[in-house]
Amino acid sequence: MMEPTRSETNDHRTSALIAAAQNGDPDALGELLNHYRKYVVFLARTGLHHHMQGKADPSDLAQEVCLAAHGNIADFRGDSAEEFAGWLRGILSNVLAMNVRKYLGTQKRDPRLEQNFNASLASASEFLQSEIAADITSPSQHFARNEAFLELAAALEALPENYRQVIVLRHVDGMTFADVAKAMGKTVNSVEKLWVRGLAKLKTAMGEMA
Amino acid sequence: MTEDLPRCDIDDSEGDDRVVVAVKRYMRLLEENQAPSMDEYLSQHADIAAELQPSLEGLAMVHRVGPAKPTMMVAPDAEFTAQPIGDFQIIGELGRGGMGVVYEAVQLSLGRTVALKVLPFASGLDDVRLKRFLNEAHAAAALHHTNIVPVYAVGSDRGLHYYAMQRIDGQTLGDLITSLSLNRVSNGPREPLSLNRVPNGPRASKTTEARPTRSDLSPSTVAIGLDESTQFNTSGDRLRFFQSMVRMIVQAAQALDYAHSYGIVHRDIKPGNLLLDSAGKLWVTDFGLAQVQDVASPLTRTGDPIGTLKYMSPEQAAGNRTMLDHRTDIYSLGVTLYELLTLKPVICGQGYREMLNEVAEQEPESPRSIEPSLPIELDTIIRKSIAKLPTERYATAAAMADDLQSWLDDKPIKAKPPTAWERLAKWRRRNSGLVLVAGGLLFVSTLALSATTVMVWREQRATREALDRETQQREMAEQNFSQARSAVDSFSNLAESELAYRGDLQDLRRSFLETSLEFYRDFLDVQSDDPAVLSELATTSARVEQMVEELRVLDNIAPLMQLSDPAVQTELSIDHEAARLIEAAIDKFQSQRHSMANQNPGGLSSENPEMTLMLQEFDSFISNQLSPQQLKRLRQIARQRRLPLTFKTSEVVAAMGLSREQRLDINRIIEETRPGRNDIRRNQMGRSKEGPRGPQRFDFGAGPPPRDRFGGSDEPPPDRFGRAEGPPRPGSGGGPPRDSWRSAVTQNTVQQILEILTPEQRTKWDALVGEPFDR
Repeated sequence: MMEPTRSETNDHRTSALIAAAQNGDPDALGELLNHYRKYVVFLARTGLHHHMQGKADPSDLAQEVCLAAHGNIADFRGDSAEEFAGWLRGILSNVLAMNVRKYLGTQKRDPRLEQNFNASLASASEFLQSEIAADITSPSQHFARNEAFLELAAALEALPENYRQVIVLRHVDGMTFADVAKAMGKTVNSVEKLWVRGLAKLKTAMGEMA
Repeated sequence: MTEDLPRCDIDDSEGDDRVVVAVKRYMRLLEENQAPSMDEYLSQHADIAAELQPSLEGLAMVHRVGPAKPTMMVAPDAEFTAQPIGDFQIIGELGRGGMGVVYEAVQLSLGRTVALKVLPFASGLDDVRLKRFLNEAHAAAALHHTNIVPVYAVGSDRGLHYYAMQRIDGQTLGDLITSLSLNRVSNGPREPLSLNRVPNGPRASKTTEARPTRSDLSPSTVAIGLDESTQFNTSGDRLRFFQSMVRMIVQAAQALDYAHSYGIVHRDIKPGNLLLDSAGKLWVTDFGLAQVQDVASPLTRTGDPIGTLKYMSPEQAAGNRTMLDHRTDIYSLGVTLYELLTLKPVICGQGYREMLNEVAEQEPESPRSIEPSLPIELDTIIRKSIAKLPTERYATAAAMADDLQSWLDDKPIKAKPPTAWERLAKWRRRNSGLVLVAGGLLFVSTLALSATTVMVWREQRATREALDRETQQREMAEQNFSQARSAVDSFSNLAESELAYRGDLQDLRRSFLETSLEFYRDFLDVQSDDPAVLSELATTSARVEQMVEELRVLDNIAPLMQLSDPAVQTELSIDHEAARLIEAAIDKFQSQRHSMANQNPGGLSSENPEMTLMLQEFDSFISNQLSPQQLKRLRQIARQRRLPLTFKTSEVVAAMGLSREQRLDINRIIEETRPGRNDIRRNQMGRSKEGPRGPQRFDFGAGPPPRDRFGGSDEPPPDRFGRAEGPPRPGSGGGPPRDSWRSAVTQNTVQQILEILTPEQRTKWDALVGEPFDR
C-alpha cells in the first residue's frame, strides 16, 4: 500500500466517520473520539495548567468531553477533521469552566471564564496544527494528513510529565527558560537539559507511532 | 509532578551542556530565519551529532515559524486584547505578577499610554470584597503625590476588573536588589540574568569586594548615582551608596505619610512595589490592591505568598486585620531598607511556616552585624522601624522620613537605641503614681535625654578612629547636650516656680532638684573641654546645689518654728527667759527672710548666699538654746504635727527604709483618706493672696509665722490634715494644728499607713514620733 493512498483513505475514513456519527452511529462516533482522545487530553492538560494547576485529571475531563459529545453530536454541523476538533475544543472549554466553577464554589456562570478557556485552548490547538508540525510529521497509518496534529498531541501525551511541561511552557506558552524554571521550581540549567531531552523523546515518540 | 522525572536522565556528562547550547542556538537561528538546514548544522557539530539530531528533529516539530510571538503570551487572554476594556485598548504585555497581568494599553479618549493592571480572572472576589476593593482603589486614585504612581481609572468592564495607572519606565527596587546582589556575587563574565543565580550563587565573602566592569552597570544604577561606586572601593563609595538608597526610601516614606494622612494604608509595601524611574525618582505603586491579594484563593493567587511574607509586618502575618494600621507600612518599608542596605532579606526562612514564625517572633540580626560599614544611625532607624510591636516603631512615616533625612543632612536623629527606650518606658510605668503627672513626664524626658547624651559622649570619646564620623557625631552630641541641658534647666526651674508653692510637695521638689544636680555634675564630667560651657555649667550646678542645701536646712529648722507655740514650750520645759529669746529670734528670722525674699523675688538666678548664711545662723542659735533631749522632743512634736505627710519626708523615708511599694501605698492611702479637696482651694487662696514668688517661698514645713498664730481664733475646726504644710495665711489664722494628731481623719490615715509597715519599721516610727503630744 502506498502512503498517499493510505492517507487519502484515512481522510476519507475520517469524513465518513463524521458523517456516520452525525447520523447517529454511536460506534462511528466512538471510533472518532478514540482518534481525538489524546488531542483532547493534551488540550485539557494545557488548559488546566493555566487555570487549575493539577486540581483535576485531564483524562477525566477528556472522558467528560466524550460523554458530552455523545449527547450532543446532533448539534455538530461541520464535516472536516479540523471542524470536529474545534467542536470538541468548545465542549472541553465548557467542561473546564464548569469544573473551575465547581472548584471555586461559585454558581454564577462567568462568560469570561469560558472565553478565557476558549482562547487558551485555541492557542494550544493552533500550536499543534502549526505549519511546521504539519510539514515535519509524516502522516502515519492511523492519521489522515490533515490530522497530523492528532499525532503530535499523542506524542506529547506519551512524554513523561516533566518533559511535556517544559515543551508546553516553552513552545505553547512562549515562556522564557527563566520563567519556565520559575514555574517548575527548577534551575534554568536543569530545565534546559529537560527540554533538549524532551525534544529528542518527542521525536522518538512520533517515530514509534508511525 | 516533578517527581516523575526519569532519574537516569539527570546529571549527565558535560557533553549534555554542549548539546543544550547547540539546540538553543539552533532555535535562535530559526527565530531569526537564518537557520541552516538541519544536516548542515549537524555537520558543524559532528562530534555531538548523534545526541543532537533527535533533539533538533523534535524541535522542528514544536517550533513555530516566525518571530517569537508575543501573542502567544497574551493568547489566553486574547479576547481582552481584541476589544477595548473600558476606555483602554491593550497593545502589549508588560509583565505578570501576583496581581494579575499588567498590559501596556492606550487610553482611547486621551490617546495616552498607560499601564493597565487586569486583576486575575474572577479572583474569587465576592460582592463584599469586590466593593471593598473598589472603595479602596477609588480612594487610592484620589491620591496625588509626586512619589505615588497616579491611578487614572479603576473600573470593570465585561466582568473584568482593571486599574489603569501612569506607565513608569524603570525598574523596581526588587530588580535593583537582584542586580546589586549579582554585582557583589560574581566577577565573571555576565550571563543573561536569571533569578536562580541569586539564591544559588555563592555569596561574596565580606572581605573581597566585587568589581563589576562598567558594562555591568544597568542604566538605572547609573541614574541613581551609583556609577562605579558599586565597586565599593572606599568607605566614601559605600557612604554614597547608603545615601542614594536612603534618599529613595525617604521619598517612599513621604509618599506613605501622605497616603496615611488620607487614611489609606498600602499593606503591601515591598521592593517589587517601589519603582525607580530613569531619572532616579522613586514611585510607590499598587495602592489599594493589597485588598485583592489578601482574599485571592490559593487557586487564583498567582503571586508567591512567600515573597510577600518577607515584607509583611508581624501583625499582618498574624492575620490580625483589626490591628492593622499605617504602622504596618512603616515596618514593611523598614524591612525594604534593611534589604537594600545589606542586600540580605530580613526574613530568610525556607518554608512558609518557618518564615511566619520568623516574622512573628525572631528578632532579626541588626543590619550592622551584616554590613559593618553601615552607620550606626541607619542601624538605629531600621531597627526602630521594624520593631515587632507597632508602638515601638515610628509613629508616622513622616517621622521615619525625617530621621532618614536628618542622617542625610548629618543632623542628629531622633530614634534612640532601643535599650534606652525600653528603660524609659519601664520607668514611666513604674512612676505613674507621681502626684504631678506633668512633672513626672518632664522628669522622664529629662532622664532619657540626659542618659543618652552621657552615653553618646562617652562612646564618642572612646571611638576616635572614625575621624570623619567624629565631627558629625560630635555635632549630634552637642545638640543632644544642649537639648538635655535645656530640659534639665527647665525641669529645675519648674521645680522651683511650681513646686515651691506646694507645701505638700516639698519632698518631690527636693528630689527633683537633687536629680537635676546629679545631671549637672554628669555634664561637668563629660563636657570637660569647652571652658565657656564649663563655667556656665558650674554656675548652674552650684546654684542648684545651693537650693538643695537650703531645702535641707529648711527641713532642719522646720521643727524649730514649733517653738513659738507656748504649748510646745511647756512640753519642753523651756523657762520663760529662754522662750522669750527664742521667740524674738524666730520673729527676727521671719522678718529678715521676708524682706530678703522681697528684694530678690524668686528665680534661680537670684539666689542669695546671705539667706543660707542666715538660715545657718538661726539654726545654730536655736540649737544652742536647747538641750539634745529638748531638740529630740521638738522634732518628735514637729513630726506629729505634720502627720500624715511626715511619712513622705525624705528624712522619714530614709530613717525607716521605706520601700518603693510602701511609698506608693502611702501616697495612695493619703490620697484616699484625704478629706475633701480643700487643700487645693487653700493653696490657690494662699497664692493669690501672697502673689507669685513671694516671701513664703521658704516657709514650707517651717510652720506659720509666730505673730499670726494668735489671731487664728476663728480658724475652722482642724479636721483636715496637712495644713501645717501650706503656705501661711496671714490674717486668716494659720496656727499650728496642734490637734491634728488627734484628728479622727488623720488618725485613721496614720493607722492605715502603720499597717503596711514591718514591725521593725514600726519600732523606728515610735522612736521618731515619741509620746503623743496632745496639748
